[in-house]
Amino acid sequence: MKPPELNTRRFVLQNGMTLLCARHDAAPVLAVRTFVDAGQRFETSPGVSAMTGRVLGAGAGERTETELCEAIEFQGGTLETSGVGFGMKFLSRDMEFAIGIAADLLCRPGFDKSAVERERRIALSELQAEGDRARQRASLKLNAELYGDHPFARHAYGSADDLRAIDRDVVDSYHTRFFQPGNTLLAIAGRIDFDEVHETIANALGDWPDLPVSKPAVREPPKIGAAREHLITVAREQVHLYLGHLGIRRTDPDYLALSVLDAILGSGAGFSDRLSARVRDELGLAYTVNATITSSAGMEPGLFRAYVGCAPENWQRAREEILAAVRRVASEPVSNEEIEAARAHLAASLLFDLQTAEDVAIALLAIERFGLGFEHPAHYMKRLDVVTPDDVMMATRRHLHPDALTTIALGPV
Amino acid sequence: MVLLVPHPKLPVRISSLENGLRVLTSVHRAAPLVSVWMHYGVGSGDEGPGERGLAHFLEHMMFKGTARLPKGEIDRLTHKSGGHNNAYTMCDATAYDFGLPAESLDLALRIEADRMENLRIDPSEFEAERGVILEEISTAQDSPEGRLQERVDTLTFPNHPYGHPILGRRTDVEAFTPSGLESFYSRWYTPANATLVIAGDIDEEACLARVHELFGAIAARETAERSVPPAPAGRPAREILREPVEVPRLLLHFPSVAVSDPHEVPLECAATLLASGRSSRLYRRLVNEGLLAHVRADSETRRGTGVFWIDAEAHPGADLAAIEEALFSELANLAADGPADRELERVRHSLEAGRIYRTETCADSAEDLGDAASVRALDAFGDYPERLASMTAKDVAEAAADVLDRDRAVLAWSTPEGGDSGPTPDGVGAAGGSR
Repeated sequence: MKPPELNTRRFVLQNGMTLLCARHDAAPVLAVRTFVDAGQRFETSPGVSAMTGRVLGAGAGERTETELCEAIEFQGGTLETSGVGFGMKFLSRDMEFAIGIAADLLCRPGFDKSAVERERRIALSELQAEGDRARQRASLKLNAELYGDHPFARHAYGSADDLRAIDRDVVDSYHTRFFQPGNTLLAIAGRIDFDEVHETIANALGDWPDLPVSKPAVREPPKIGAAREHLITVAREQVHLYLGHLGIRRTDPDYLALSVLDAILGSGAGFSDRLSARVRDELGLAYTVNATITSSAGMEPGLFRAYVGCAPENWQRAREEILAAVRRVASEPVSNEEIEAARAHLAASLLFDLQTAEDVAIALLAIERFGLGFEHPAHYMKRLDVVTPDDVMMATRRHLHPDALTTIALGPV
Repeated sequence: MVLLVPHPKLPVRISSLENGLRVLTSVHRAAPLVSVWMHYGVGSGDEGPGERGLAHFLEHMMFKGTARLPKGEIDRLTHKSGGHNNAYTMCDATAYDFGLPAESLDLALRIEADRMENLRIDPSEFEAERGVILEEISTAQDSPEGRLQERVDTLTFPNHPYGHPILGRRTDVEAFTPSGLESFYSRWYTPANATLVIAGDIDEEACLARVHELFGAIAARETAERSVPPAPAGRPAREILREPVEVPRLLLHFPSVAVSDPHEVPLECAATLLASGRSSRLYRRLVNEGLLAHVRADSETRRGTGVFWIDAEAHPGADLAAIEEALFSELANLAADGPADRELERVRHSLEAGRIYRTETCADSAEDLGDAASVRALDAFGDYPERLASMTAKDVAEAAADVLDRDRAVLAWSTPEGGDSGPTPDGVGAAGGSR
């Protein structure tokens, strides 16, 4: 399989902002995405990152929130925002307009006061509504159990009291602190001319003054400890079961071998992975069962998490099946056929994951953040080719600890 | 004999095999990938008494093996080729898809040809899959939105093929037998009732030759006669469901129009201007004013009567009657005055761009073509840009007046047990029941 080739160019503006461009011809579509190195891990006011994301589009530059939304929609565009930036999609012809909006969001956000109040109230409702979502509740409980004093232990919104303490000033100061040129990556992909994009961006953002960004130290999450079990009894049709312990960072040398493991154990295509084949296909115990250690790996450690939703009378059996599958991958090499299938799956995923302009912009940001280099697709495929069953087993032994998996079971238990 | 006809307005060529299988091919060179979709013209709306949930059950069993492919082999081969597969069941059709590196196209074609005539329904596999589907039903039942959907569908379409859950109810699924499934398969999974769409980095001529070789050998079979589901005999309704939930949620249905109806595009426009984004009418009126946390709307057209739906999540303790009043008054305003010129233009641009965004991947393109060919009309799909361009504010107002009429509304609230849902708009007690 031939690796996808990225046609890219990297610029650094005089103020320190990094601009990543990719020419992508699939359709007359332009994607603009930013990544600001901020987020929940650096919060000093719990929930401020998520709240900033909610109100980042609440006015910018000379436009009110409604005017901004209408202007974007009038061009057929879309905008999504988060505490670490935003993503926009437009038709290619609207490149200058899109960059103008991006500059306003980065440098001149409105943070309309009434929007902050509205979003705070909605977030409080959403926190309460999560009581209705059994799987989500179980997942949050697992985070709380495994992350200790690390910021990821808490809900992204913080608690209700945290939310009530966030006002426009708190949001504005988070934005001012982190949304600085030297702390910002901006990626643009589509039918673009690199020099034209560079010039337009330099005109729109070149005079954005750079202030130094100080980032608080992030507490380390607790090391993997003894297995714990939390049974939470609520009236539901199903038991939502999570098994988990601390996982890895994206930069971990074992990331690739563990990606292969994920594809074999619990995140393969269709229902070909071991857990789906056994728990769903063979035993008919569940509609949804999965496991992964790489999907949550980022700058901070993620989690190894296995999930199954099943009938109350079957949850302990399902847990035993998951534990047996985890023990097996840690104790015996996976087969050559499984390795080959996982390699093919992961290599092809590179192609599937780079189809749209938005996909490419997202990939540019990941490549820059994790120091992968623009040749990443080709290197990735080469490295995949040499992953062996032993590599997978050794990585599994280093990072998966079946006897230390904490259990969260929520439902009629 | 393969007839290859380019569509005048779509990047697709249409062929038909002698056994009736329709084949659509579309070349996308952006990536070395291919997307293969098989749409069968049967869905939950075609299920008779005792069959409710059978179309969906069959969709699951289509991955469990054939006379040639043992259980698990479809997924194993797909995975080994670097691809993925999936399927879903709708009211009017059942769709299967493969996404593969282009060089593995043949795999998807072989599997689809094989399972079109050689599906094996092993009793033990059937039992295991019944367990999976019962868990799928439980997952839906554990969600307040899933329970609301089931109730409002029933109220909108009483004793009607569109009125039961696509998954079926637990008692239905527990009563299914392998022979019932085989009979359903024989009746509906025929070449003449199927549309195959292949989009991607393909050699169109070679691809069609291979399709002919694999599918041309499948004997033509009689397909069950398919009637258009009748208009529902439902009446306006309003129910309050007292549930173990934390926040009130609303689902509102208006029985709507069939595919290709003149109101189809204006209603899509109405859904967009009512609830798409923070500049939309319902967002500004209901979310900005603190009545709702979320609101969405969409227009779903079908072979028979479609549904225009609005769903919402309210703040805890919200005044439900006030929400309904505000909501219906916005709908009435739209029906009376239609959209302003600039609003209409904005929505039109948004829908036009949305269609272009769908052309970025061969999978989205193929899915849309398959849906158009099997449920809608391919020509109407091709005419969409013109229908959108020629739509007027008056068209939107008329569609809203005809469809989004309060006297036709079917709605239900899921509300916290013991909560006060406030007076109903018509003064009837809030304890539930249809009106």
